[in-house]
Amino acid sequence: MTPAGRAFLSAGLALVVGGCALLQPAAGPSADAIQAVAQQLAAARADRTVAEAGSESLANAEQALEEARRARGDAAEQALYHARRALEMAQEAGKQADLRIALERLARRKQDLQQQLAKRQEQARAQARLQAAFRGFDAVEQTSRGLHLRLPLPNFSPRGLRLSGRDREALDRLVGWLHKHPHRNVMIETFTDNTGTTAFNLRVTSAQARELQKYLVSHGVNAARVVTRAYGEAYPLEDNATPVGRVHNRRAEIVISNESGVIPPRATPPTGH
Amino acid sequence: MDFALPAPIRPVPILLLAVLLTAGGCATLPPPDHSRDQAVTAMQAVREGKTPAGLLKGARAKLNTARQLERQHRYALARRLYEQVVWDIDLARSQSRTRTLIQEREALEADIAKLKRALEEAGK
Repeated sequence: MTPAGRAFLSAGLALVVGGCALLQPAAGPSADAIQAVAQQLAAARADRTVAEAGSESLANAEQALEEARRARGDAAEQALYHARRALEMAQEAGKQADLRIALERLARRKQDLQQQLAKRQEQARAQARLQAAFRGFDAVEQTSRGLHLRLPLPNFSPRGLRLSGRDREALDRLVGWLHKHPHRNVMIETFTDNTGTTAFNLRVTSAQARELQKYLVSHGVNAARVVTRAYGEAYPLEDNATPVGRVHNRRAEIVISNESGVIPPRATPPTGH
Repeated sequence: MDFALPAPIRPVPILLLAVLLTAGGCATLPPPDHSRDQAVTAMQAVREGKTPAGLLKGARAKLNTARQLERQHRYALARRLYEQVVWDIDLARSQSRTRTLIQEREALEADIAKLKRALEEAGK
């Protein structure tokens, strides 16, 4: 065989042996690349959420990483690629598990707030209805003792109660309301400022309470439904040191019971200013 | 050493055979039908707009490359790319689910902030 023939033959054999390898050069992943994925995998395993939620993907990643270590060339590259993707899938599963927990918590919070808002809106509507029903009273509020109405009595003198036209209108509304709610009882509480002696103030407020009771009874409210309490200068609303404070302290507070008809006594002991 | 071939074997036909085999490359492998079908099905199942664009774009390019390689009978490479497309799309879909959950969380947080404001308003 001639040297030229040998050269041709050698080249031909080399091409045959090379075959696919020439078309698909196979370097394979570096040891560092495999190590980096192994470290990420270990970190993912240490994360409880990822380990639980992404257990299947982590198992796939581990298997693929083993394959990447065992195989050569392109097959190893492909296995490492698979390991990376499986690892990322596990991490996504972990994120999703965390998000689902957060969503549940937020949904509960939202529901709680919706209930609070609905309750507050209903209270506001009820308050608006009460304000309309008891127009003429200074304050109308639902308390633990019952429905509380405040009527200012700035001009009371020991000679008698001088009710203004506005006061009468307010009391007439109360009378009308009591006629519509026959199971509700009323407690009339009267207060004054600290001008004068305690005994005098008690007498004054007792007279005020009786006058108001008489007004209601004279307009058809059963006397058994109306009780009175005179507190004299006790329970001031404001400071008695100022003229305005004293005016505000001269007042009647009418407590209307709920359907049970019971009105609890005042909880806090009287304090003088 | 003297290298001698039997008489019927001549260098030129051997060289021709070698060139043919090389040109054929991995033509001896079967076409990657299964992995191609999986990749195509996965790609079709992707919901546009919800899947992260980058990963999806890459997978689509990879699918086209794999098809070209398959047409050139470079089946081993094509098969590997088809497999990668499936993994890429699996991940893209998982990321899409994560994104949906994040959006749900943001919507709930916005609702809660709105409710808190409404409660403050109602309390005034």
